[in-house]
Amino acid sequence: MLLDNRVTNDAGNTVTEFVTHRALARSTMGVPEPIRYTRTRIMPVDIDVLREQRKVVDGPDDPAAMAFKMLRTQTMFWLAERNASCIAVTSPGRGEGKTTTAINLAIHLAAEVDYTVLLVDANLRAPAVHEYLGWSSVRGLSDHLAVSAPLEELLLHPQIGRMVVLPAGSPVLNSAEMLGSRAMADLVAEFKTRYPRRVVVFDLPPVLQATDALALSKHVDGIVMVAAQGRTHRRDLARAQELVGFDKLIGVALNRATN
Amino acid sequence: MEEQPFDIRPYVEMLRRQRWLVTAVSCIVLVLALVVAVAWPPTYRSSATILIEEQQIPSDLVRSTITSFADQRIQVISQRALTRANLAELVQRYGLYPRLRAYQTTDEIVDRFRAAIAIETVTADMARGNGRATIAFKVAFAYEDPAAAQKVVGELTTLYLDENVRSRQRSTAETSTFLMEESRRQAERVNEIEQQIEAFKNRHAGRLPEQVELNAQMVERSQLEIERLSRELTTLSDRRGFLEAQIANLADAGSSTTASEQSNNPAERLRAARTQLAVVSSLYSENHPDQIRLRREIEGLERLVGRSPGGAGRESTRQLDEARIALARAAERYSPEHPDVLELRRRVAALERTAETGEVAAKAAGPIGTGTLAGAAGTGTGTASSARSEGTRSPAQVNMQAQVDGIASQMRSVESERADLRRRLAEYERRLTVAPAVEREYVTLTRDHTNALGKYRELQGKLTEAEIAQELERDRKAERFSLIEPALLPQAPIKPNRAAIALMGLVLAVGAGLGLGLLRELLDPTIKSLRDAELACGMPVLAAIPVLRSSAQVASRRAHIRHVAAASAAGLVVLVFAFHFVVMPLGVFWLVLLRRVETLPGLFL
Repeated sequence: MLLDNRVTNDAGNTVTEFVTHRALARSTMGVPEPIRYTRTRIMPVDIDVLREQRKVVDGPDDPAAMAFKMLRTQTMFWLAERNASCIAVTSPGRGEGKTTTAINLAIHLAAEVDYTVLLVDANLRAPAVHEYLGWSSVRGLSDHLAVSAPLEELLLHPQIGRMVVLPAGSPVLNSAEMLGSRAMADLVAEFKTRYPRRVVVFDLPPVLQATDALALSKHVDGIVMVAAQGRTHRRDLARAQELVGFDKLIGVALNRATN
Repeated sequence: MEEQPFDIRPYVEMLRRQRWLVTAVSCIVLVLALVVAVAWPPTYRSSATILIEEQQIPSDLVRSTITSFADQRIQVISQRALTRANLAELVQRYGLYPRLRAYQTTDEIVDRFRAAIAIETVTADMARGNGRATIAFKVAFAYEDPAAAQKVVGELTTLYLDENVRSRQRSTAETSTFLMEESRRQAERVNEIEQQIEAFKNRHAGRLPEQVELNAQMVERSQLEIERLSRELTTLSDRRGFLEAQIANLADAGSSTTASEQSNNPAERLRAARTQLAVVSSLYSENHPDQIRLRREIEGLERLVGRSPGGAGRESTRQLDEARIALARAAERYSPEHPDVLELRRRVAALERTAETGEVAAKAAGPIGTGTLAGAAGTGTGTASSARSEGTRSPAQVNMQAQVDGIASQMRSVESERADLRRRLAEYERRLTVAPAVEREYVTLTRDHTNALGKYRELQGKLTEAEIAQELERDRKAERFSLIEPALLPQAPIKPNRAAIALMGLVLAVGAGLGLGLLRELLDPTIKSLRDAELACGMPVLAAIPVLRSSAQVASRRAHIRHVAAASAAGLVVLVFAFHFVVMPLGVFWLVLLRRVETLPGLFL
């Protein structure tokens, strides 16, 4: 008993210790308009393979899926409080699961009735989202910023709920400058205003490894910091938080958690 | 984040996280400890006890010459008995430390051996609170082979006992020898002094203090004797005087006096010269011109006057000279009324008369003598004495003359005796004078002698004591070592305490495991738990996403574990085989293990 600090609900199921005491308030906004993806290109994904590979986690009894749901809920609440819509997912270092988290967060956000999600791969140095979803190299954000390729041609619909993906495009070296450019700023502004109930999720490079995340953090409303148990150093996490700034930090998601 | 009271959970989680490391380390350490507990070879200890017995004969009666304390002596004997040579010999004889022989020098092995030997003293409180005294000591040796340990301890005790006896005897013998030498030297010295005393006595014979009384007596006696002789002389002189007067009376009746010619005849002149000589000789030295002149004159006059061939005449002349000299000296020293002076005067007068009458008697004696004398007398003018002597003599005169002569000769002998006595008296007096100085020196010598003799006696006494002490040692009646508890064959080893080692190993294993686990945890900079993450970021974590593994990944992990387990098992088998062939066959090992474990219960105590 002494060693068992788990909280149980009436059914005897356990949830993690850190039950938020923030109320899960539903949005008071109205029913959204139906989305018609008339111009967005459809790029299918093999969802079963992805599920099997555990890249997409959305099963109803899957504890991992529940964790993502938790994350989604927390994020939504935070956004609703501030009437914001742009979040970025980053982590202190590499390989800590931010892409996985970003994609799953986007998927679960898209499962919400009220919202559509735009997932943007903003890791222009080492694009990962398209690979994750099983796509070969495609054009994307970098192309738009560099040569002003029209967005309509770049957006992709993976057919996972109400989600649209903007890949990173070809890798570039001056990613930080690009992300900090006027064009990017304009783009983000447009993203915010284009559709009223659309959440934009940015997958950013690691905070401590490049200045890209910081460059874009000016434009986003909130940042989810992903830390990996057994991989992320405590100090790095603290440092990353400092860099990002506490006002924009939605919170920390612990990946590879064991308890 | 609220402060929480001490929560064991983080540590439990820590343990859980590091379970593999903790288990592995604990197992390794435990196995090692068990190996050590089993493999460590046993050490057996054998010991013997030697009692220090006190001297049996009371030390008031016979005192030993060895005065050191028992434990001091034990130390010294240890040094002598446990020499490198002795120990090396024991190592050789009993084949000790065979495994070390290959790579250690003899010195090192001997050092090892000596370190394994323990000498322990047993003390007891002395009566009347005089502190603690050592009454016995134990000799012990710890070694891997019990039989060898017992034998070695036996040898060591023998070494100790022998060495003790030897050193005690040596000590007493040295004392005796030393005293003997000193005593001999002192005897020589005494002899030397005795010789000196003897020489001294010889040199100062007669003047020695013990002879002072004798000398004084002799002085007194001599003086008395001299007085007696003087009185005798006086008597004789008187008698002679009387007789001569008688003769003169008779001679005067029929002879003519030629007193007027006294001054001119050579005899008179000779007498005068002789008197003068006596005076001068008392005043001046013999070489004085006056004395020499007088002597020559006297010689001449003598030739002129003629001497009687008879010894009596010459003798009386000499006596006369002597008497004159003596008189002159006495007259110089004493007053004219002094008995000596008076007596000498009388003697001189008597001798002069005798000389004259001697000449007369000589002339009247025989024809040859008479002829010569007459001839001699004839050259000079007639003397009163010759006139007197040529006169006819009556038988009464002759008789009286003979008496006078007799008295004269008596007197001479008495005088000579007296002079003798006087010399002897002077000698005795001189001796008395020197006696104090001689006494001083003599006393010094005697005192030296007494001292030397006393010291010699003292040394002799000590020598006797030392010799008795030596006898005491030889008969082993003095303090001695005796073996009261011989070395036994040790049954059980004294170390190692296998149970203790195993237990300690267990504790160490747990400790090491936990410690290393903790260390690893502390050194790990990564986030290890939700709590960790919260602490690091200062806010509750949004969500805890578990590790996402595909079934393929899971399968590969399982395969990986199986491979590791198989490899470990194979490794273990190889290890066991290696042990069997290289270190010790397993059967033997099992037996050794059993034997070692058997002794465990005893060691639990």
